[in-house]
Amino acid sequence: MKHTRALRAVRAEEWMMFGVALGVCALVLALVFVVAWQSFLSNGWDHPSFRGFGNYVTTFRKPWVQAAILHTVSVSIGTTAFATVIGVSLAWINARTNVPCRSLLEVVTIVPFFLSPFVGAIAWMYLAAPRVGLLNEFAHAAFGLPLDVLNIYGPGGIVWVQGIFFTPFVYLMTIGTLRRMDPALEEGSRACGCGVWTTTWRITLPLVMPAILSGVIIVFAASAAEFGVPLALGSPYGFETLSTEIFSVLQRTEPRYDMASTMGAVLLAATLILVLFYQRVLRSREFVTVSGKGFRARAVDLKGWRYAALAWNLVYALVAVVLPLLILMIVSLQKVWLGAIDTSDFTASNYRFALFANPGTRSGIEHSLVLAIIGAFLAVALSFIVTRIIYRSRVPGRYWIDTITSIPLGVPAIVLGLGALIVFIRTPLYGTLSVLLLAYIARFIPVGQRSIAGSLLALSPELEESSRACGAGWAKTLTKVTLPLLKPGLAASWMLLFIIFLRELPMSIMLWTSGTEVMSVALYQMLDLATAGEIAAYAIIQAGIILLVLLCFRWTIRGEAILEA
Amino acid sequence: MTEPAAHRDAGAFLRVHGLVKHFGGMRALDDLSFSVARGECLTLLGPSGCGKTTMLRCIAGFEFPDSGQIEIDGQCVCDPERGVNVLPERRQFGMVFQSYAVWPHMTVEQNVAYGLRNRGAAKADISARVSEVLRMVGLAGRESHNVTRLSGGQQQRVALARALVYRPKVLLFDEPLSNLDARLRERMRQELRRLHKETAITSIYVTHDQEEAMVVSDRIVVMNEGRIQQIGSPSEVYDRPVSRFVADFVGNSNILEGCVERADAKSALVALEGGENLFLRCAVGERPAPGAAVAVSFHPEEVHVAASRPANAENILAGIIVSRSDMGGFIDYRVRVGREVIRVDAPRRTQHSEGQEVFLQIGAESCQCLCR
Ligand SMILES: Nc1ncnc2c1ncn2[C@@H]1O[C@H](COP(=O)(O)OP(=O)(O)OP(=O)(O)O)[C@@H](O)[C@H]1O
Ligand SMILES: [Mg+2]
Repeated sequence: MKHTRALRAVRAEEWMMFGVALGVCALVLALVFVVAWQSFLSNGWDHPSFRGFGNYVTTFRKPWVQAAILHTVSVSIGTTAFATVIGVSLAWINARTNVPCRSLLEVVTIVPFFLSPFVGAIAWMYLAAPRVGLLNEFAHAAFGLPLDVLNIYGPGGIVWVQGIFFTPFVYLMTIGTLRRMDPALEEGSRACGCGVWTTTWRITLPLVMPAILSGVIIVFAASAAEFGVPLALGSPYGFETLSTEIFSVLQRTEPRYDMASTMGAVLLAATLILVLFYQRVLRSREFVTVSGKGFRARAVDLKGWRYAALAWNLVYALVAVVLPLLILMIVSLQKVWLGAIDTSDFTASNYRFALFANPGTRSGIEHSLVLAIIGAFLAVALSFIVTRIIYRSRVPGRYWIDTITSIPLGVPAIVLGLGALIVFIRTPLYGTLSVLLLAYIARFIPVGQRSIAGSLLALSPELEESSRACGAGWAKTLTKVTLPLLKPGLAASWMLLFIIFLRELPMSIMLWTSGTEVMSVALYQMLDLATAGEIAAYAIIQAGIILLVLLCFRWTIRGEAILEA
Repeated sequence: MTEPAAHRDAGAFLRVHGLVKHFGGMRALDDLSFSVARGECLTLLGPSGCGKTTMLRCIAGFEFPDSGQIEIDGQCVCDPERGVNVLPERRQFGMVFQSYAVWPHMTVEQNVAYGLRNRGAAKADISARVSEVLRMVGLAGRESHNVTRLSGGQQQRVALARALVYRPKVLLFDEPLSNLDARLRERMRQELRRLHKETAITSIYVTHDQEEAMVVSDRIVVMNEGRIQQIGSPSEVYDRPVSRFVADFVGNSNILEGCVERADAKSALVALEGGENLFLRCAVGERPAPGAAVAVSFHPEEVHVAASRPANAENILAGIIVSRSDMGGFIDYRVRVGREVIRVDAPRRTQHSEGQEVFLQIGAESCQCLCR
């Protein structure tokens, strides 16, 4: 009785949006559960038999699977340690010290967040591959060191590239807390006679510990799930991780869906648990240091050390942004890359090849742009609907929609791609771009949802209600009041999703067919077939589009929402 | 079910009957019934969290009650039993929110004209109405201003103009002045009263400030914990509170416990519990039984304080001044009488000091006898 009354209060438009939100939930659940289900079935679509945990036993007995697990764990530990040290130190420098040129550094430090780690791995191949890496050449010429003093291939290189690209995760998480921390907490310690360093060590650090811990968890989960970097720097040299193995067992003449989904299910379980744990930490941290007042904590005077801090920051910017982009630009202009810059040999032919001459790369660009533009619009629209249902409706089951739509945060893209492959391969949709579109949306709906939630919650419901009072229906209220007011927030999440979709590799590589290749997939294929110059030109085109979009929007980046990516 | 009297009240323009609303297990509105006459301004007055906003939002259609009916101008807009729930935009009301809720992406003119445009008014008509209403609220000539540049008071005027412009059947105010500073609040009260007189639009006004309620309204509904405590004109509610809650909340009265010594049809003599031989004679509506436990309430400003015992007068309490604070307009004394401390608001010219013995005189007609 009470329930039916509650239902009557729900308006028709709310039911409509509720239906859409349910559709999104169904898609997410289908793509995730099908992987788990497949892991209990024998291989082959025709007469699968239920094998219980049989797949798990056979798969995890294999030495190469055990090696892959070991590799995944060790690379993740390395990446996490690396990214945490750099991220926390940069956050502290930028939030709490009088380091020079801070505003510029703050921008540069988060640029790697938007660039593709896969492209970063390729760039670092040209910088630090044995014999042909520019840095190796330089070390040889300047100090007489052997030509393979740096070797980007293998676990060290993977940790290096992932570390510099995941640093912004830790950085953004920590800097938010550092900024919002009540200065009275530190001033209290100073008043008690403790010096700057003791205070930083004894008060500041423990207070930001929860933020650091959540950064650690999220980086660990992200590197366990990372696909592009080990694919570029590990796989060709026999160093496989779980995510690359999931991909490679499907490349066999007889694709092994059973093994792929078994490994996928294990990887999924691990990352899901980590992300759940992370959300716990995040929730508990809110009332520790955040007081909600908008003050900027007083800066620590580093005196002469401020230049050391600046240098540390610049070194990061150099290895994470400047060097990779520079080397790609140089290589892309070179006819032949032999590890040395030859300005007399500069040419635009590589760009001509990537943009026009080669149909594969050209259609990759087209497909990626179509997917990114349309996909981002769709994802923003769906995220908006889901967010409204969660935060601004009286529909029962809102809590479950929230829970289900945040599951993909903990699902490695390669696993979700596998799920989409299993679901769609037997449907007529397979072989069209819409499969990629659905997978992208399913994976990144929580990113859109979280970035929109911030602006929606900041919008007082009274602004909409007064429009209803003025005689406008819900549709008119939406177009005349809600959407115009949310425009900056919606545009920011569109931009974020555009960038994510444009550079997406793991799901695309699982789902593409000839005729639906996208940029990152084409780039991957070029690694075997094209010249260094052509590869670099293509990578520069992708990075260029991303930087252009970033520049167009020029929004100060809101950490929390973006972090979840 | 027989229709209760309130429901049949023929003069009523807006009727609320038997409204119940739960939030989870919490009863936010508990069987609320009242009605508002055409052109009347009714105030819902009560402490924070008593359900005033919820009540208003039910009338507006932003909340859906669990049971009860709401009727505006003869049309039933909400009746969960029959599944009636008219959309907010069809209820023809105007609403002014505490947060102003003016649309920051529109100019003053666009904000105000919004309601008219939605109703398909003619262009010339719109601009005429908009400038007329803006003049009424004192914002003439500000049509093209950006609302975000206006001060809080001006934004609230825009919100008011926006609600007035399409001549709604009912105007709903949810604490419209509580974000303004004290001085401005006082001026706006008077202006709201004037506007209400000018436009004669039936209004429901929500506030937790009793002074504001007294100034702006024709009638006050005092609420507490989702229930109606008393309905009456401002002076009725102020002078004749029916319960301790109303006496305390509306009148900020002194409330002294006691029991009826003897009573006749018009007055009762109450023996106070706060000390030996303390008696107060109070006005009563109906004759209470002797020995009944009651409370006596009276307003601080109705107490006369004197240094010497007034000759042959009734209702005199002797006490010691425990504190004296100069409040500007009056002096606030706290006087200990027996075990009680009584608040007295005395004129500035009284010059008593702390520790002094004084005599308090309270007119029998100022003392209210409240049954326990
Ligand atoms: N959407 C809601 N969900 C749950 N509880 C609610 C909701 N809205 C109001 N309440 C609860 O209902 C009760 C009445 O709330 P209401 O906002 O009507 O009070 P109010 O009288 O307007 O108070 P105030 O003077 O502080 O505005 C409060 O206890 C409040 O917590
Ligand atoms: Mg309220």
